[in-house]
Amino acid sequence: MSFLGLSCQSFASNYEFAGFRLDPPLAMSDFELVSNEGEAVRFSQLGGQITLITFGYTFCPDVCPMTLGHIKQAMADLTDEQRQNVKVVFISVDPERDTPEVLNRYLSVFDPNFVGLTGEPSVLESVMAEYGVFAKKEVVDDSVASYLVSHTARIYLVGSQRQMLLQYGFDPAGSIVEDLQSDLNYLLQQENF
Amino acid sequence: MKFVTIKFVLFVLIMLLAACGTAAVETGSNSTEPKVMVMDAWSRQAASGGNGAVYFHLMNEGGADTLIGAETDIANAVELHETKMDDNDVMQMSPISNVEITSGGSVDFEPGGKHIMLMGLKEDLVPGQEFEVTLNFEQSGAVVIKSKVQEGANDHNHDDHSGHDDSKSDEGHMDHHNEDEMEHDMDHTEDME
Repeated sequence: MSFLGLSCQSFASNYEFAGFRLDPPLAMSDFELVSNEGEAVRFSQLGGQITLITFGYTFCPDVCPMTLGHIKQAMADLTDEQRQNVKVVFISVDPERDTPEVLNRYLSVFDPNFVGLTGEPSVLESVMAEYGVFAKKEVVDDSVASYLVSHTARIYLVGSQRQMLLQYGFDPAGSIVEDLQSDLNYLLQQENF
Repeated sequence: MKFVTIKFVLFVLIMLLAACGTAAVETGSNSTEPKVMVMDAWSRQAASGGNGAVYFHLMNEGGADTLIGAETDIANAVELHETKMDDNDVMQMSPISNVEITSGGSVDFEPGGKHIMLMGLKEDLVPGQEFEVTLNFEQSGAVVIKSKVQEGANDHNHDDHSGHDDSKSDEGHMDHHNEDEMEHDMDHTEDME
C-alpha cells in the first residue's frame, strides 16, 4: 500500500482533484484522543490508509448528519477492500456533551466503522487549531438547548503519512458526494507512490 | 381659469391613484385567507436520545401567514431553527421565533437552512418510518404533516418525491395538485437523475 505515502510528485497525471488540493501536502501531528469505544487512540492507530476527517457535535441534527451522510454515500460504491482503506473520523467540537457513549450511539446510525473522537477540551482545541477549524459555543436564550456550537463544516482528506492532501467545503447541494467519489477512486487506484 | 382646471384634474387623478394603491395593498394582505401547503416532509434517520430535523417545502396560495411553532410526540422538545454559513464554511445554527410565508410565496425547509429541530428523540427514527408533526400557523392554525424518515445517505436526492401523490399528501392540506406543485415534482425528478 505504498501508494498511500502520497508525496508532492504523486499527482503528475492529468487527473484534476475535485477537492481543494494542498500542494505541498500539510504534515499533521499524531494526536491522541478518546474513541467512541472509550479508549485512548492515536491518529496513527486508526488504521486508515486514507482518512476522511470532519469536525462536529452530536447535538447537531442538520449539518453534521448531512456531512456524515455525504461521506457514507460517497463510499457506498467502493469495494469492501477499498472501503477498508478509508477511515472516517468524526471529531467532536463539544466534549461537554459528546461522551464516548453518546458518540457511539450517534455514529451507529451512519456506519459502525465510523470512528468518533472526543477528549479534553485543551487537546481538542489544539487539534482544531492544527486543522484550521473554528468552533464557538453559543449560549441561546430562547431554546431548551442551553447552548449550540458554531463550527467549521469541512471534510479533510489525509494520507497514510498523516499529510493533509485535500479539503472539501460544506455543500448542501450534494455535489460533494461525486467529488469525494472521484478523488477516492483516483487515490485508491494509485500504486506507484 | 384654465390653469386652475388642470390643477384640479391633476389633484383628482392623484387622489384616484392613491385610492387604487390602497385597495391593492388591502387585497394583498390578510384580507385573503391563507392556503398553506406542506410538501415532501422528511427526516434523516437518527438515534433515540439524540436530535433530529424535519424538512419540507412550504407553499401558500392564499394570503400571508406565519409559521409560529411545531409539535410532535416523538421528541421532548420541538423548535424552529435555522443554519447559516459564513464564507469560511463555519455553520451557525440558531433558534428562530417564526417564519413568514407571503401571499403566493414558498419557503424551503432544507438541510443547511431552516428546519424543525427535534430535541430528545423518544425513539429511533428508522428509514421508512413516518411520524406526525403539527405545524402551528398564525392564521391557518394547526396543520398536521407526516415526515418520512430516510437514510442519512440520501440527503441530496431523497427518494420520495417521484412518489408524490394524493395518498402521500399530508393531512391538513388543501388542494394539492396544481401546476406549481407539478413543477415542483419535476424539479425533484431532475434532481434524482
